[in-house]
Amino acid sequence: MSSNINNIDSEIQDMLGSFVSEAFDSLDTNEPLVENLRNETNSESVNAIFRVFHTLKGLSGFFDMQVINKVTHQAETLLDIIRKKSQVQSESTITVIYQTFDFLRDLLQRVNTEFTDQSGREEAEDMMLIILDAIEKVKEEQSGKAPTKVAETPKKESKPLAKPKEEIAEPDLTANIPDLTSENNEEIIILEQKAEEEMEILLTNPELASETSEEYAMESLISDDMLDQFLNGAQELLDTSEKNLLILEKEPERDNLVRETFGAVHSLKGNAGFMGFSEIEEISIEMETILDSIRNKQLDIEQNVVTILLSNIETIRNRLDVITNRTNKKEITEHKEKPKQKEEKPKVEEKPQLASAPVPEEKTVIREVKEKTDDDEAKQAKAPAQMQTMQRKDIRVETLKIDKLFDLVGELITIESMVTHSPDLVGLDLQNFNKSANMLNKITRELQEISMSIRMMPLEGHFNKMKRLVRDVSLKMNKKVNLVVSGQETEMDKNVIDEIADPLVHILRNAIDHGVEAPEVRIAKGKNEIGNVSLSARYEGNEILIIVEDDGAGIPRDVILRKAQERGILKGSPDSLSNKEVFALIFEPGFSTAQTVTDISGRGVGMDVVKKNIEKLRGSVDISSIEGKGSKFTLRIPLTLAIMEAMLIRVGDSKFALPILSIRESFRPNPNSITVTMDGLEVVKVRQEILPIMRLHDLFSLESDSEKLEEGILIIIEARERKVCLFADEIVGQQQAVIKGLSDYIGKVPGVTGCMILGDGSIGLILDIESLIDMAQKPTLITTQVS
Amino acid sequence: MTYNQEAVDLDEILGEDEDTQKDKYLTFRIADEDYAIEIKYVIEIIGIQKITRVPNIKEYIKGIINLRGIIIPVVEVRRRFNLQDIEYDDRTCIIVVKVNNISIGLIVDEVAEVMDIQESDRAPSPPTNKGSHSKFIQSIGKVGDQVKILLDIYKLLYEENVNIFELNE
Repeated sequence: MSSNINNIDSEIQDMLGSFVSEAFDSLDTNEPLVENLRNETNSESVNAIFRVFHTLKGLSGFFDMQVINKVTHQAETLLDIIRKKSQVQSESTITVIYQTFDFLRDLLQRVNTEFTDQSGREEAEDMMLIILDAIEKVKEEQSGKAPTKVAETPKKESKPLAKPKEEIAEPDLTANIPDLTSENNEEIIILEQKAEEEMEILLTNPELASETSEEYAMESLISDDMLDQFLNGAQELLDTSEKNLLILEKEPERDNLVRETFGAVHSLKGNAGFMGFSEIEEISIEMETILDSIRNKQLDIEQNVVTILLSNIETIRNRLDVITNRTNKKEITEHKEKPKQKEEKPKVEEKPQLASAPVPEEKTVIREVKEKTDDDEAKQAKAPAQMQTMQRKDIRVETLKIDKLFDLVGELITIESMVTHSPDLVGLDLQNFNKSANMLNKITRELQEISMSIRMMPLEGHFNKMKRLVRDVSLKMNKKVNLVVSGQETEMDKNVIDEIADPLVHILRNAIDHGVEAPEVRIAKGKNEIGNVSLSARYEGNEILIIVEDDGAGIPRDVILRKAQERGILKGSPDSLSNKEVFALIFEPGFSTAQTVTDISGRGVGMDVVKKNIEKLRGSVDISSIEGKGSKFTLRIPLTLAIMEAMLIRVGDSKFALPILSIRESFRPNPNSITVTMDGLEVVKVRQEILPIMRLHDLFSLESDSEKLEEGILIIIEARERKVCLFADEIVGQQQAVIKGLSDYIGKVPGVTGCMILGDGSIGLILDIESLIDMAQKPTLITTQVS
Repeated sequence: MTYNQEAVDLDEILGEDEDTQKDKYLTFRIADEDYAIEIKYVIEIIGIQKITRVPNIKEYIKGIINLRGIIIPVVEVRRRFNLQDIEYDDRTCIIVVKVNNISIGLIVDEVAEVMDIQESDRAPSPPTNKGSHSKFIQSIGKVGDQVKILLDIYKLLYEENVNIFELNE
């Protein structure tokens, strides 16, 4: 193991030289970032520094520089802890990081002259103690949030519910399972302690150190594409497992799910092993063992077993996140430091050569390396089958490109209809042209559908996360909740899904915390002790409805009014407010009805966020509630697609577009069916319904062909189960509309959502059905400025 | 964004064109009076075209036009000056300007020419309490024996924000 100057040929000397200069470079460029830790929780800086240590660790392992390897490993551990809980670092921690930088420079200097770092061994012990000390300190600072020590686990058990936390993280789960079989319990703690142990082993066992670093050298043999595939695949496998486990908890008899989960974990184990992520591999093995016992009926599926497995999944997820961050970081550095990367690559390729170099003293090492490679080859042989199945599934594309594609398709559709509806064609009989035009139309439509579907994702993944959330929150609140999910196949624009994630979390938490009562209260009220919460999604018109409904206590009107008055949110008499208006008060910033602020909800920030996020999507939130019976939150989110199917109508010489999905029917009215009320409101009777008539020409101050309703056409539009009749001169046709915004200079226009370019190049305004209906119901809101 | 910052940004964007555009003004005529705006804001000049009216917006915004697939709002400058609308004819033009990164069209009676008005030839607008539209005036330019009214384009377009700009000036 010990390197000897005489045994090192010139080639390796060269490589060592470039290793040292590269390492110096990396230390120098990243040292200024340490300063950032002092005054900001800048995860980018933390990641960059982490990356420095990590790269150094990998390289030093490859060059068998054990001292550097150990120091960097420990420094990496420190940075990893800092990274996990972003917060401003204390002066002493920063000093330690600086010290580490300096010490590494010192070691590198030795490598440069002595071709080994062994002479720094003793100082390294001191340095590592200092870092270890810093690690302890950082942990202490954060012990309330991210306990990673064995010693703390029992402490947790004594106060499982009183922690000031917002997120539901795994530590609580471990705290809630004291009655677990001691064997399994141990296993889990062992796993959680992995990071620390690994470090200790490294301190005492240099052989292992080289093996670990070997593993990191392996890492660089794996291409980014493979890593991406692994990460995506792993997420999917974890999602599947999580979903299955949650079902199994309720329906333990479903053996096929056990098998499926076992299969998923098994695949994960194989992939992780192949990729060299030993930690994930080992956790997977543990999970596999547990699942195997379940499969063989040696172990029953109980809540605490599921909890362990879930917390394992969580741990693996965290590891995957770390890996993802690392890769992202690498991508950035790759752009910046291309020449360096080139230098690095040949080195890695030379590895086998290096290992088999005819140096007698190193025979043991060679064998070790060989074994390792053989082992890896075996795994490699096993892995391809799995990798291939993942390959087909997806490719990762930058969203920027997709957005660009979207824009271009939009332009194409506009141009297509400009060509096929060109005024030059009027009166010409062009058989071939028409044939081709039809083809073009068909293809553009298909292209549009595909490009739209690219961004669409089913809500399933998100809803599954919600299942997990409901489980965790209800355990924590000591409430029994049965979550019923439906409509998870509903597809939504990816960007929209991301935006509704937070609001949904808040609403569900509220439903459990404020809505569903404690089991004994429910029994006293004559309800089933298990509360029902349903989460469902469906399309309605060009909107998606996401509904969260619970059968809990409902929202007490008087409590809200009292609180609102106390907090000065509500001014004036509350009697005139409708229930809807009262419930809307909970969206006001700073509003909270919770008697006590729990760690889950009650600070009065949640609903405020819900409203803001949903409004950003041009959506809305409706609340309905019956006291004692439960409440219902309805999120209405427009599909926010840039393209829609539109019906074109004409009023005078203006053309308007209506989303075809909101049109119910159109008809020429019979004068007998129209009634005018005393205050001039016109209504029309359509079968059994009486609907108000809106004259578009009045609303928009236009000249229409005729003032007589029976000479034009009435179009029934519907939004949110409310209907209104629009009066226009005629229906012009149907067209794909690429929605364009009115200029920012104009701002928001009541009744109009945007505009589109028509076939003849003129502009049609797209009507906002909902606000038109609002206007019809509150005519005073209409301001008829002449434009 | 404040007036000053924006001006600096635009200068940066225009870069090398700065020299050639300095002191250059586009002059146009409204109701027999000569006005001018700095050339650096001007994107292009187009003839009058079909304007789509948009309901319930500020009365001086005449509507929107489709300029090669881009929606551009157009301002009736006459209305800005509290003048009567006139019939558009073949001399009526839309000057497309880009301000705050938004393209906006200005409808004017007639576009005259691009001319140099040196700083020495520009005099501050005489203080007046007559007429509200004098607030759009940046300065008065003298070209030979003619007088051009140099307009502050920000004030012309964003009346409501006038105070903000004044504070920063």
